Amino acid sequence: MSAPILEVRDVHKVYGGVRALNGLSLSVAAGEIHCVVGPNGAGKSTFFKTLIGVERPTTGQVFYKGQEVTKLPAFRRARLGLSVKFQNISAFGELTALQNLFVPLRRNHRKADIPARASAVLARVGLAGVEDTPVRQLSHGQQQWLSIGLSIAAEPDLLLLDEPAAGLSSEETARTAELIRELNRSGMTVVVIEHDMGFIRSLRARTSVLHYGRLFAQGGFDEIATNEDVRRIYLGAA
Amino acid sequence: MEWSGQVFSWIYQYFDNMAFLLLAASGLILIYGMMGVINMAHGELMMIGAYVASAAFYVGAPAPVAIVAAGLVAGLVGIAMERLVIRHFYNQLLSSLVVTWGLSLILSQGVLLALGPSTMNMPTPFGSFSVGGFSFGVYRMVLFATAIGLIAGVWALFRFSSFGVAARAAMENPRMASALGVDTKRVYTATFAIGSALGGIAGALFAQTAAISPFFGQNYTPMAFITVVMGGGASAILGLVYAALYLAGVQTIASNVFNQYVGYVSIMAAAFIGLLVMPSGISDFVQKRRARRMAR
Amino acid sequence: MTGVTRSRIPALLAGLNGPQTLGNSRLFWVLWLAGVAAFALLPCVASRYQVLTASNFFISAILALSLCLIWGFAGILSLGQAAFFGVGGYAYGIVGINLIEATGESGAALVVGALAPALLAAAVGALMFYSRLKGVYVAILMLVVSLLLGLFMRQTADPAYAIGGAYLGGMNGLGPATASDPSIPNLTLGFGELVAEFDGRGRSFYWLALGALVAVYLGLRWLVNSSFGYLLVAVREDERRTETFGYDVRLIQLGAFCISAALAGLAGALYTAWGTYIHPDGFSVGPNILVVIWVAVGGRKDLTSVVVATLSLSWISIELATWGEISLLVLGVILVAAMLVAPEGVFATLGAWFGRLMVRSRRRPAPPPTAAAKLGAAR
Repeated sequence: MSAPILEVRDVHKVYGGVRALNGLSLSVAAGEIHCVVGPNGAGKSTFFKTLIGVERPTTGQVFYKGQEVTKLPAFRRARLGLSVKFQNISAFGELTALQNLFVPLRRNHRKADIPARASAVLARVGLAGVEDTPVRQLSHGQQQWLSIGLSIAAEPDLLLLDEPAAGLSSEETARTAELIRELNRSGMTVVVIEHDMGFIRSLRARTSVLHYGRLFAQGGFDEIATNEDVRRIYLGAA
Repeated sequence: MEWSGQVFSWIYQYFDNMAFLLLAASGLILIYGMMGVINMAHGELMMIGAYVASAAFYVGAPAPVAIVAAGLVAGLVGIAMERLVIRHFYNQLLSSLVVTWGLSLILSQGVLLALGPSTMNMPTPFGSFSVGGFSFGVYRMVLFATAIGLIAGVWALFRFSSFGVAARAAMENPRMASALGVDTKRVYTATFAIGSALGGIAGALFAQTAAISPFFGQNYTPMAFITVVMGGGASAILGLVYAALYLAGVQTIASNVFNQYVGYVSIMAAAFIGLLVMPSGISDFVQKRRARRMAR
Repeated sequence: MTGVTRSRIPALLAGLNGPQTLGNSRLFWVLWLAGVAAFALLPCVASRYQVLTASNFFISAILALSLCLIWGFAGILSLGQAAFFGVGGYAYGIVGINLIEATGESGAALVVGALAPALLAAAVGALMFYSRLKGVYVAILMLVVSLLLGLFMRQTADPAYAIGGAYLGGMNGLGPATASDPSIPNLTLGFGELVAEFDGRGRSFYWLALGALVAVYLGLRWLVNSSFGYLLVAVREDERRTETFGYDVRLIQLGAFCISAALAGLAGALYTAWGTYIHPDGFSVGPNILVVIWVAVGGRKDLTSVVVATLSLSWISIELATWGEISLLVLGVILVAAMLVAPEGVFATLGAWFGRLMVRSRRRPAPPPTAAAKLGAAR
């Protein structure tokens, strides 16, 4: 396996009296799709926030491409090639799709090149032709894909997706999974944080299970799916 | 003039400044902490309280009655404001700020039209005592004790009463709370009424030390707000006490070393510096440090 | 008009039009030109007093636009916009008194009047945005800054508060330090022999103020429809999301804040030049709340609505003054009523409604996105 592109070491995060992360250590290899799953309250969202830099861990370290980024603000991490999609829809509702894409594209491209590049990104996420539609007029699924489109428009090396299939129909979910596999084939490392095991199944990737803010199990999807302990925590009988 | 008098004078001023901040902020923090609304008309509720108290005093009511009357009237005005206007602006922080500022303008200008710009005065009760050649008013000590009493009362109300439980539930998850049979609208109105009444009582108390005019409240709201912000949201009431301890301390030192104006500015400067170190207030800062210790 | 300039006009207009502003149609610009022309011709029919008053309205509209930029587009509310207005006004007066006799003009004072508040905004804004203070805190701290400046200026009656030939003067307002110093000069622009003096009571100042307002309005239209404008709206819509695309949100906010302060300062400098008078009351609650009322009633997300609202409300205030001291009370009622009935602003809502009506009557597809339409979607 290649060198890790992302690594967290012994990360703790305490809110008030709650330990959201409790000594989590995990690494993601360059070029893989890596799924992070866990029951509600396992610490998935907190893990995501410490990765992208909107929250700092109480103790512990985060490494990206071998460099420590624990205290780096979110915009600096983004400039290092880390791109994210938040759990809820995270496109700018008052702007059109094209203007939305303007925001990530303007950092790396000249203004005149942006419309063509934006159309290419929209085509890639299956939204060709919606350039001038205000985002709030798009369907829920379209907004989710546009959110992913915004993330890939930043041309990242590592893409972090928080619940990309939330609220989607089964057909839309399948399309999303296909999109993620295709992005991965083009060389992007993708980390998917997901509650729904069904979606993870369709990705068939290496999977880490979080439980009580720690790494509970790790392995290929089949290995995880057949793990008795994982089933037990998911059914809540622990 | 002896050194004991000088030292006592500083301590006396410290407690006086603290009482000022705590009283001005007590109603504001209740409404902000529970409902997320910063009531820019809080100072005007204090102004109404001050007028009611002095009116009651001049028709011969004893001071405690005048203070309670001030609280009642301010509470009623608060209910009207919440029912008619503020209710439509929950969860819209900036809009609620602007609309309550509009209400404050209406109240102060309305009183100005009705009663004119001349000021009123109430006598300061309880006389004075002297330490080491300095003379001190008793009333300001009473103010401090009252401030502590009111803050403790608010804390107890929310900690122990069933109203407190309902209010906290309504704030944290309105949908769930109403599903469980809590009348969230009434809880909001009641919280707002209590916060407004506290403002009215504070105004009645200050009326006995300051001149009353339609613009009586204008300077209180920003100062009260700074105290609330400095306190932070992690445990609002405790934060308020921390903030008053800190800001009043800085103010007392600055106004003695320099002058009153510098003392006033120093509150603002101290809050700015404090917020740079602790962007979400003292109580959040204390809680985070505790969390770090827990993680080790 | 030559063919070359005619072909450039569409390209120029394209930069001024966009989804961040209401009114992008040809009809809008025709009406707009007619409006500006009507104002330009007003001194031919209006009385001296009306011209004088209208000059002040234009200055108020520039101040309102400065708040519109940060509140409506960047999502940063300031309840203390008059702080920058006042600092600009004092800066113009202080520099003007000291330079008018040496240089014979006060254009430099106007420039300092815009730069001084921008510097203040850079200092205060850096502290606020870099400590990631919440929006409500920023709003009220700016009010506190304004009130403190007012308090400071009030207690400058001591003759020691003199800067060169200018004496801060406490409650009497800014004036000359000694009898031999000049008082606050009229706005005097130009070099050497070519100097024009704009008396605040005259027509020339009226046209100058109108020109300044038109320039600020067009400049802001261009700015909010540019790359920077998109970023401002992105920050307003979702600060955290914008940051995850590699933008330092704090810097964007600080930039907008400084531009806004410079415009408010320009308005303040013009105000001082207009009345050759500046007073500590300019920092008090009254002026601060007036700006917020103009912008909120107009519609904070649209420049045109804010200008129209400022001019209308200022006119209403003057008319009400004949009925006694009720204008602030009425404006307070208008503000609260407007926020209840049309939270996105009375004029912006009407403008959007009118725009849709025009589009429908012409059977054109997809109306431009409007603030009011967003409201319908959000509720």
